[in-house]
Amino acid sequence: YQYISITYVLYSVLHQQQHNTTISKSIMAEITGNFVPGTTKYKSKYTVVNQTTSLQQTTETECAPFFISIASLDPNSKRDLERLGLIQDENSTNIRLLRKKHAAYLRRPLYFKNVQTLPGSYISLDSSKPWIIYWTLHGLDLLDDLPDEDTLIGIVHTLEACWSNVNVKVNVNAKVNEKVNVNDGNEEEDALGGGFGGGVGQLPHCATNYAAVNALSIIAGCDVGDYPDAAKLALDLLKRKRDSLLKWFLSLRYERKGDNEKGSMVCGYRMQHDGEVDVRATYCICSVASLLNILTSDLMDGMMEHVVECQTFEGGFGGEPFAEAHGGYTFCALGALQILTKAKGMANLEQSGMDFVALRNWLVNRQMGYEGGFQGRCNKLVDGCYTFWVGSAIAILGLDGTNQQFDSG
Amino acid sequence: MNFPTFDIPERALELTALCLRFNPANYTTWWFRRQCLASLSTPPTSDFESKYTYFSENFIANDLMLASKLGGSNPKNYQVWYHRRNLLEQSFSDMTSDSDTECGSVLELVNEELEYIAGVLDKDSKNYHAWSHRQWILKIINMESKWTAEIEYINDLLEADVRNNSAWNQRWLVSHRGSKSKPFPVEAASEEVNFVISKAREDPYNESPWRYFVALIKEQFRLIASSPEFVSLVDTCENALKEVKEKFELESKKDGMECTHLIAAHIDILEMKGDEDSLSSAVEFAILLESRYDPVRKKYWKLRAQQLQVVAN
Repeated sequence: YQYISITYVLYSVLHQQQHNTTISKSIMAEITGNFVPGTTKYKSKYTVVNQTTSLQQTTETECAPFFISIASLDPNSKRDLERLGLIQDENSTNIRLLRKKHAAYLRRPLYFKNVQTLPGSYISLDSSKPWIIYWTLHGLDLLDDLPDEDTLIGIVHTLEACWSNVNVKVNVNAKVNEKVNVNDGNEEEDALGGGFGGGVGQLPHCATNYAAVNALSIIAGCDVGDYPDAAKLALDLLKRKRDSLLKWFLSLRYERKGDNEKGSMVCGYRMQHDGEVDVRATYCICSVASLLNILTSDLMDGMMEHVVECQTFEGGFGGEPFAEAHGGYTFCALGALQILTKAKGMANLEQSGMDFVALRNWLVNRQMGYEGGFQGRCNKLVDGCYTFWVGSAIAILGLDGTNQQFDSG
Repeated sequence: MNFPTFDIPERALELTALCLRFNPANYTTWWFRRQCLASLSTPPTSDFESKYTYFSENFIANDLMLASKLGGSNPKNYQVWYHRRNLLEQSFSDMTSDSDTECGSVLELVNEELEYIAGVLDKDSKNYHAWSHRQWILKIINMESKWTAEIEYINDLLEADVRNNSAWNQRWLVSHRGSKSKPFPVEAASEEVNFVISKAREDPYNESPWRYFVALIKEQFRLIASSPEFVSLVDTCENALKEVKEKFELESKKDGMECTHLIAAHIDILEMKGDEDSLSSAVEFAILLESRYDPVRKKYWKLRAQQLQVVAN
């Protein structure tokens, strides 16, 4: 009902705006010189029509009704928005975040006592339980609206149930708390590694492992005063798993001859045993390993060089060398490089060998001139998720030690 | 993983196929299925050794079909595409000869697979997994005839949609024969530039060719900066770019500065030229983009102008 009513309000407003004499957005942009999304003048331009331009046009048309100046609305429309809680009162000009409603939505999959299952179509996420937990818990954490301690304890138990052990072969010298050179001797032994998978009895997987560790970290990092038992439970679980995680990570190594002048070794990582190698795995492993302080030199060996090979001629990063520059993979690559360069004591990201200038140029060009949001690849469509992937990448660059900092338009 | 051992892997295979219909994203089921297939496959010789898993021919054929069936409604599923790759790794890595006649059945498999991918791309010309799989095949077989055939395929895609950035990306892979470390000859760069300019001319607003254009020149800049060959290349490129802009303004009666990616490319060229006049032109262009033509990237262009000014001084 609320979606329909908002849409009705917005469409009626658009109809009205075509007939009123309020200062148009494009004129405002000229006067203030600031970027204002939804300015017709900055819709995408083309001299040739093709599938790309058609899809882009359709998207711009769909987005257009949502770029409304609240100040220019008539009193009835404003009252509608006020009733929905989207604006504070008739004098407001900013949309409010509906915190309680978002929190209620996020809490749905986490019901503990009144068992509420997700609809049948969610079977496609049956191998992604830790993701559902992490997405919702992280959202609630940002909203300062975490569930009660019983629910958090339940989550820790659920995540523990997603843990599986796997037989691995490790270099006998690969220890958790020491920095050992992996090339010293090839003696290997059987060991038990492990990680968090998508559900009970599922193989450990880098992505679900990342999600599970992050979710546990949120709980472990809770104010001990508020959630004493849950925080302790989560922290203990993470501590117990450090050793196994390192062994499992090492067993995912995919070493190869680097595509560089010297032909020196570079190392990608698989997402799972007998699984695909791409830069997501490198990031997930870097992130978890640095959180849990198991980012050993064995693990890092060849990692950075592999990531750098994933940078394309466009400046962004793809999932594998030569794969198309893509917002999601760029975030992963950049996150990994940031962690690695810091761990290696490097002064800045450029020391990794990546082309900082080309990356920066590619990133800023992912912002859409009309919509204001970001696309994931050149000549593709805007999508809210890329506000995170690309927006975060831009933020990461701002953390770089050099003076080349800026925030996005 | 401590799975119970199955005495009847054939039955386990059947079960995995059933399970995968419910959830083709269950990566554990795929992994387990491959364990069963491998255990039922007998390598050609008793001392057969390979870093890749060996699957017998009929299993490969059958499971490619299974993957196609499941992949149809799930074109963006990682596991289905990886299954195809894993099935084919052993036989594709075996191809060392470039002679079309010597590889027989494996070559047939290569062609079928490339055709399958083309079919997927026909429905979604930018499917990331499809392109990734295609790139893997071309790199692992490394056949000159396939590289050259791919250029034709890319050209067809660009004819249909000159803004297909995935096709542009593929062109970079193919022209470089899958290598980042082998120096790209300046003659090849010149040829590529001609092609790119012809495409940029079709729609000067299009970002893809201008990005490719700048990358080609930058690559040569890194290899042979300040050599007469580079100077000649840069001059040719700058003239070609100016010509595109002039022609656009003549035909459309519009302001060529609106083609912000063309202007951005020009700024990059001027920066590489590096002389005082070029740099001050570059600063001017950057300021125009910042203040008027590319407001969403206002702060970026301001920074760029500042940095160029510093170099100019």
